Amino acid sequence: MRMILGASLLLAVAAAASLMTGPVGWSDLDHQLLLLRLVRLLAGILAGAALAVAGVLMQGLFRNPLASPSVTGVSAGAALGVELALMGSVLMPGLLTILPAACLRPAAGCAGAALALGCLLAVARRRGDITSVVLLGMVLSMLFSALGAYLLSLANDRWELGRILVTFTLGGIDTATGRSVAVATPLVAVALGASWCWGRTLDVALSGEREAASLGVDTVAMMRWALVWTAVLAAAAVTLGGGIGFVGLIVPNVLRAYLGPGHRQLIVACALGGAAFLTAADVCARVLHPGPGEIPLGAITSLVGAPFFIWFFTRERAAGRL
Amino acid sequence: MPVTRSDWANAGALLGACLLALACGWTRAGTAGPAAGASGPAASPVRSADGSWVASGPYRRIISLDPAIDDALAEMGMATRLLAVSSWSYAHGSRARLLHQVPHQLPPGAALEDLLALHGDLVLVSGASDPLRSAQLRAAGMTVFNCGTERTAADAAQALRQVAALLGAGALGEELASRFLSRLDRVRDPRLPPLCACYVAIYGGELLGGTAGTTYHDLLIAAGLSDAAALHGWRDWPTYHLEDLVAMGPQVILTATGMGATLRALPGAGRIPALAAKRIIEVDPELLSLTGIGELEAAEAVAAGRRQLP
Repeated sequence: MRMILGASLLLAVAAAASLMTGPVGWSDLDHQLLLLRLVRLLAGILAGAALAVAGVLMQGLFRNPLASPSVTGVSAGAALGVELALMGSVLMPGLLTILPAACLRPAAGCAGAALALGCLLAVARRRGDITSVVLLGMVLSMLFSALGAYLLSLANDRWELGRILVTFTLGGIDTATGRSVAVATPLVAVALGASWCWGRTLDVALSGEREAASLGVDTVAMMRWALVWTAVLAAAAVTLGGGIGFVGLIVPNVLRAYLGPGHRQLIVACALGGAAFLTAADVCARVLHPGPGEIPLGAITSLVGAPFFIWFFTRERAAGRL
Repeated sequence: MPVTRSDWANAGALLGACLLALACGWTRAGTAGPAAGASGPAASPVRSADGSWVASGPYRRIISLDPAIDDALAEMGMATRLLAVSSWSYAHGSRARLLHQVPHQLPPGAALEDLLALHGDLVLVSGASDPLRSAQLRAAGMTVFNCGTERTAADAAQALRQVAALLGAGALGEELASRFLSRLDRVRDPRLPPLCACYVAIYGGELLGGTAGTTYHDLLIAAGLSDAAALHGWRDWPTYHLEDLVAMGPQVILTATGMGATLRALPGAGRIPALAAKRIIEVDPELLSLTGIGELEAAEAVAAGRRQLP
């Protein structure tokens, strides 16, 4: 409970800093600017919570603290979907009139994630073992990343398209709109609730697939739905923030060291901790850039996340906890 | 595979979340119907390049994020209506002096808050801008007009007509656009033979081109040259290998100032007729990169280089 309170406090501090940080001073802030900052804050909270909880689900499902949504290919699938939608919106502007602009990115992200998920579930249905799912997930991740790189190379010939795709790949929540946040909110909220409901089952599954099955756990259903909710969370996060890495690795591992492996408590703490981490990273992206402009959020999370994770991993390994 | 109660519960939750998300996003705001003008009586709406409609009106606090249109506004005598322009506008074009009088200069990647804090009544963006940024500005109550990509002279003329109509000066815009296109058409020297040419720049060892669908193509045509890359099926801004240039066999190379010697030093460059015969037109890279009506100056520079070729 103390950790959850601590994470809530961190989130409150990060949120206050986020609302107060920007090129326009606090005294000159009108309701429109405040609304903009609020939308950005909400986007950070949703994306951070989604990424961290997706990490908890993956690590619980694969019983491996180094697992993350990217292992299943779901993040890469969602990113590929969004990149295709961005290309479509530039090459065929009429596409935007068929589907509302706010729905285009989430729909494309969910479609990409669903494609990756469909492949995974097909394997899970036949083989049912986690090793096969992990292997296929890694292959899918590489495949979708390669396709994304190909799209980027195609976009090089069109300056405006290349710029949009590179910005998306670098990650950032500065382009979030009220409507994109509104679209992502029910997806993230329901997925968080469902993940919490699967918490007890994931706790039992920590003892191993066979042991869990002998205790009456439907491991196939657990795997199916853990993957589905991971896909929803990853797709929502990708559509809101693009390529943001490390949140799903850092936040669950840090909090698990203090809270233990119980999933329900961990999911609540990670939702708050992930939101606080990404909001704080977004504040850093705005504050640390010399001159006007911002550091890409994906670069900040990676710059902070990579060394932190190496330190954390070494420490935990030395203590025999990993 | 048996379907359990938890499957139904999860599937129901997923469906509910998706329907709710769709309901939240399902509004066509900003893409249909005329938007309200900033001040004065709204006249006929003008269709923006992104499909939204914007009411024409006497906008007087214009924030222009499209350097290609700034020159046109200056040419129409509307520079005083500009509240802010992109810093790119100051560096280019013969009308830079007029644009220097604009009160605010926005750095590349200016924050959304900086734009809103200016309290402009119209924001002009280019087709290269992020659609989400435009959506954010519209959501914050700003009138946004997308001028399109302006990749070619025809695009530039169309953008000019549209923006002039938006500002209530449709006839002036039409006249200026026609004059721009006809002057561009008269740049070439009809006495010179139509040589086959190609635009190539070299950066970091990469041979970067510009052909059909870009201003480079227009520059070559306006200077009385034919575009070898376009004739070979290339489009937009391709990256070439030396062999591609050999296959195209251009008689003239158009490049940025100082790059001719680098191109000639490339191994195998002697196989390219233009480089072997030193028929290279070098033009100031800033002039070459001009879009909008500034393209005319670049075309005149290319034509001048064409006249001096051996």
